[in-house]
Amino acid sequence: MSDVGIKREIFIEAKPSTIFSYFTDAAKLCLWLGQQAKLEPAESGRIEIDMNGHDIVLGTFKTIDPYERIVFTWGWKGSDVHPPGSSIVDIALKPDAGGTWLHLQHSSVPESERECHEDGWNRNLPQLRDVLTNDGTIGQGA
Amino acid sequence: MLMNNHIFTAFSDPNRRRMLDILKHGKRTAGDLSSSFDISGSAVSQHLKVLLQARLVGVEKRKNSRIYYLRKEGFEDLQQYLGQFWDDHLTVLKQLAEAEEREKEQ
Repeated sequence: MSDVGIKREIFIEAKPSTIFSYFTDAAKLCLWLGQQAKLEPAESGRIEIDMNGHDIVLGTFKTIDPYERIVFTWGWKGSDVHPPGSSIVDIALKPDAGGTWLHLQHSSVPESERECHEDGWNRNLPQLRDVLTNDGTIGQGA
Repeated sequence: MLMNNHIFTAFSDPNRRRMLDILKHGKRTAGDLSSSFDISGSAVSQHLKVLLQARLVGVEKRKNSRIYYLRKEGFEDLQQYLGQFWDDHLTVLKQLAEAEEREKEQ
């Protein structure tokens, strides 16, 4: 494994358009993800989610394809190991009988492709990914 | 919310990040580590304490020395945290979206 990343699939008995609004409407997003949110639901629009009055997620929308796909960057304000711009969340909505399959992939962004975020993080940091991949001894079975 | 805040704290210091780099190459005693740094022995001990708390580093206690090593499980914590984070939140999203859909149908 060369990256930190997870995949999830969940079946939701609702239309893609209903589910989609929970990612683009700040008031609805706060019902399931965080306490307060500012969203600019357009390509290159900003995302700011205050999770608990202390931990803040910053990101940017990369793709907004109504009712089918949403891609945005994700990172924790002030975090070295998971800074803003260091990971990407890819949501795909696929209608199926009686509802929608939501596919979520959250993976780290290669360092070379990372955007320099206003939160200001040090590009020279040895990122977690580097530790995981070094000589193959870490992140694999002992 | 951040399951293992210690991990984030541990990574926030350049000396600690360098210690992790050194330990990637194998086990070291506190003395071995000290010789690679321009900081006092007690400062090295403090940094090791933080890395131990974050569970990124483990220690083997010998008669006359303590030997430090990298814990791969510590690094897997982040992955696990991410999975748990989305599992918890997607479950709530599912309930909300399904409730809204049922209301629309009525």
